[in-house]
Amino acid sequence: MGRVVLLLLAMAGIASIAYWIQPYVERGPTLCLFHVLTGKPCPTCGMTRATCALAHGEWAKAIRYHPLVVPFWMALVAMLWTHFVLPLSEKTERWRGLSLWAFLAVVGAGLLMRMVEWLR
Amino acid sequence: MGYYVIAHDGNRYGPADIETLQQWVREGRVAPNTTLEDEFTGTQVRASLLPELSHLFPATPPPPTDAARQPPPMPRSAGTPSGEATAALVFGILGLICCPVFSIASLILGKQEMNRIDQGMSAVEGRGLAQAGYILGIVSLVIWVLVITVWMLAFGTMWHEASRSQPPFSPR
Repeated sequence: MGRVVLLLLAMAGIASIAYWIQPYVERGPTLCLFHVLTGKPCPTCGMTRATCALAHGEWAKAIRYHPLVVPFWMALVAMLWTHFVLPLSEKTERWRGLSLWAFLAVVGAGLLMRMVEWLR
Repeated sequence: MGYYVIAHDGNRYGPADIETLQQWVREGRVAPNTTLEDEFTGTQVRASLLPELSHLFPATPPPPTDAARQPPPMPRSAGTPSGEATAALVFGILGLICCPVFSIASLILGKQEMNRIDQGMSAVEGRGLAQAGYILGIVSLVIWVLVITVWMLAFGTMWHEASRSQPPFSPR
């Protein structure tokens, strides 16, 4: 099976699980160890709820849970694509580096966002 | 399936898969008379006799070029691990303490980085970090699946019982 198909299947699987677990995610307690230990939300706290809302097509709700949900998933899919689908060669190295930095930038932006909340 | 390239100086490089070998042939790093050794069986064969490579060699051998005299890429040693190896480990840790999405990222990054190190495209010093990220990715994914399953079973049952005990409409 081609790697493109595998990646698409994995994404479809994640979307299906997110669709299915939404009622549990929205009502249950947090599973984030960082949040449990420190009492503060981590840079990606809210991302699971936001992803579940996205899977239901509830864009506004998703962005309310985590404003960076769309760039986060775009950067993650780009990183998985460049690291899992593209062949390993010197030509594709640049794209791998770029996608990794893009993902790190989104996570960094999430961290900055949370730091503002922590300092409030 | 991969092959080790036996260089003129007697050193073995690789193992390299067929695609990489074809690239080395195109770059002139592997000549028709270069000896290849099967990764698993240890059988040695001349590069020009391998069906996957034979069509890439011209009918008459060209004069040796500078590129042909270069050995195949050796494992790169930059003294410090690459950024991707470090990222794999960091994502592995974040996968354990924050969000399962990081587990997927660390698993893919770690595996890819180990492949890059094997092919001499990244610093060998990063192997430990990449391996740690890869293993952490697998471990944290398994833990997340177990935790979410138990959590759903526990709370799903509780909510189901609560919804059954309440009247459908509460009087104002």
